[in-house]
Amino acid sequence: MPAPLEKSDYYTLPDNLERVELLRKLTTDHSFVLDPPQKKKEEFLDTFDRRLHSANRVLIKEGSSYYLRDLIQGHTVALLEGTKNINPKFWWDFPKCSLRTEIKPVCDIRALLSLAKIERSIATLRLLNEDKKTVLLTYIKELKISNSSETKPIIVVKIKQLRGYEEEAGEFKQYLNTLGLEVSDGDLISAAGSIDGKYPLNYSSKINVHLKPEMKSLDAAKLIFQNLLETMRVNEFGIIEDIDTEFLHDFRVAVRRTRSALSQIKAVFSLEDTLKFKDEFSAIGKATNELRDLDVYLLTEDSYKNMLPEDLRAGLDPLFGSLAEQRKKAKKMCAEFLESDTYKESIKTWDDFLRTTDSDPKLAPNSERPVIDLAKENIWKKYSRVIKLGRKIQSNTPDPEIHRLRIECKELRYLLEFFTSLFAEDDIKTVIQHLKKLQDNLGDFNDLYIQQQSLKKFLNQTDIGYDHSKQTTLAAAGGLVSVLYQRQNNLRKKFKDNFDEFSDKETTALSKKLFSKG
Amino acid sequence: MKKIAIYSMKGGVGKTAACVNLAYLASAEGFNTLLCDLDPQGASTYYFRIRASKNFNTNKFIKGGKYIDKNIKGTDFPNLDLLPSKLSYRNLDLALDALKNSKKRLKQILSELEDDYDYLFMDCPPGISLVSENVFNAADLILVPLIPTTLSELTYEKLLKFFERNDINPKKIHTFFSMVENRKTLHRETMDKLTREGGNILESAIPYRSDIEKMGIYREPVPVTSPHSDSTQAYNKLWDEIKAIPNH
Repeated sequence: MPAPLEKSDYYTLPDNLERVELLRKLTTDHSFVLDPPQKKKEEFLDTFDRRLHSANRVLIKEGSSYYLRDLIQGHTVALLEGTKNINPKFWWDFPKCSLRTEIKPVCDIRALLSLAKIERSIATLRLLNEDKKTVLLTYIKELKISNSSETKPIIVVKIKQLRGYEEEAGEFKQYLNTLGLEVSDGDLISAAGSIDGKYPLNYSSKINVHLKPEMKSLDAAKLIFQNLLETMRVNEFGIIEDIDTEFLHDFRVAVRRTRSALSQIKAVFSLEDTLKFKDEFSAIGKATNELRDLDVYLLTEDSYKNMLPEDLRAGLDPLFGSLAEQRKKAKKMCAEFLESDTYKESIKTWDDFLRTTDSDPKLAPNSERPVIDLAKENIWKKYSRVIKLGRKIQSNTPDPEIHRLRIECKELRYLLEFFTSLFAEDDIKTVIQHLKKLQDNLGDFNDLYIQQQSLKKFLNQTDIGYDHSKQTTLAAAGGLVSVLYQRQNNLRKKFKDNFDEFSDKETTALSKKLFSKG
Repeated sequence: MKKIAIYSMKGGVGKTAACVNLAYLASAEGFNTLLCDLDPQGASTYYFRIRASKNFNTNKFIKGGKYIDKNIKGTDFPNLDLLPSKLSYRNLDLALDALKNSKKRLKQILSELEDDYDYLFMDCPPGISLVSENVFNAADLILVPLIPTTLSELTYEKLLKFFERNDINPKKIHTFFSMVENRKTLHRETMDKLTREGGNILESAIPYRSDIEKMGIYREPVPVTSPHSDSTQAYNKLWDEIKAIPNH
């Protein structure tokens, strides 16, 4: 659907002007025709991380219809009408239509959640000229939102200006100014912005802390850890309710970052505390491992099947069937763990510790040093190690060596992200970008290795009989292993290029400038 | 942007009614639509309760670009704009004649609106003139309303000959029967005969109805004033058929 021709402006009412009073004033001061008032009950849908919102879209469910609207101008971008008996959770649950095509790349593997219910009443006033031609439309919209921080309804006045009647619109807007109305965001943004509760508008799994170079290292570390803890907490419900796979993913990344920070931001806590919490987070990681592994396998189903000739594809069904069964159990165990006293106690202890612990130069020698010094020291050390390991890699280097480099790169990446706010944005971005390419290569390499191992494990476990379906399964799994092996080898060849880019003169010089002492 | 001209050599054949109602139906489906009223009588403009700005005139129209932009008006209906006509359009022929590229100027002017609209409808003045030739060159589709009488048949044949002589693609022309009175034997016979003889005749016909006649009183498209009438149904069918016509 094309963008609309008309231009819209939005206004909010001053505190001393009620909606009814505004209506009374408008209709006495101007010759308006009132269209029948509309009442609508709507539901706002988006992914947990508000992907549609970030893409300037709002997905609204009204009765059995779905509207994808532009967040700012409010016009409908795509719609799907009269779809009874579907309760779509993911984009692929929608029937094929333009709405589905629009949301597919935005939502990807994230589920749609009902963020809030909205009751909307709209009064439409048409301003007419002497020919009884509409020259301007005024909508007074009242929105009542469940899950909102505001208890009062949101009132937004929308002025839709008609092309060629700018003069009339200008005069009317001046009149609105004299009533004290102020230009505002559209009703959709206002509504979306006021939804809160467990759906934060600005959720991001990325580290979001603002450090100052002269800050005490302990204080900086606390901010980083608290940010990570918050990410874990907001994702818990999504894992327990099994909404989509990304809650667990984000949760685990935060756990991993916490563990990595505990080892790498050295000596800001006492050794005893550091070791204790490392153990706790390692236990949290372990309790969620199995579910994540299964999620990853199940997400590969389509791409695995696409690697095989059509007649072999069904051979993988027993494999994915058994994985799905295993996942049910793993999901239950993971949810039970997150609701257990053990987990809650760990998190509470950690939270209390972050709130109360003080710097102690004796037991935690780095705790009072300026964070910039500690950051540079740690990053430079890790950076040098990555370069050293990377240069050793040859075409015949065994897989576990490459795995070690991957881990070192990951740790370097985390360090860079923890301390990003201490460095010039463009510089640190450049280093991260080159590192990211290298990491992608190593990550894919590792995934392919792991996938081959687990397929082989599956083959060993399967009781091989002689019936036909089992043979298809064997052929399919065997075929996959060889494709995966080929791909892994190709990546090995690409590694050198990516590493050269990361360790080229320019990036090395930049890293030296940023992180080294001398 | 698909450019559709509603044209007839003969006046009073239901041309403006078709133009207004079809443009409305296009816009109601969500297409950004512009109705360009080229007839100095300004009936389309009147139906939408619009008046052209005082300082808009033929010369400004011919200049195109920002002069057109400034004078397009929004109708009362979403997605539907109108470029109003002016009485001074009666001089459009002379003004065009003074230009170098006198037969293709309209095409150039309209091409500047290409990205703004999905459909452009032209309500054309009757007769055959330089303005009509401009319309023939500019339009992707020329819809000719035809009252099923002998006289209409004759003028239609003349139009086809004109296309042939002037090397304009006759495949652009599609006719539909208009103001049809089924109780008249002549109407039925002419329709049968013309349909048998082939040519690009659309299946949907617009009946002679009072709600179409009364558009001048209500000053609104028929689907708005009488959404359930058979006139509305006929325009809907016609619009569906027009949408399905491939580009040439």
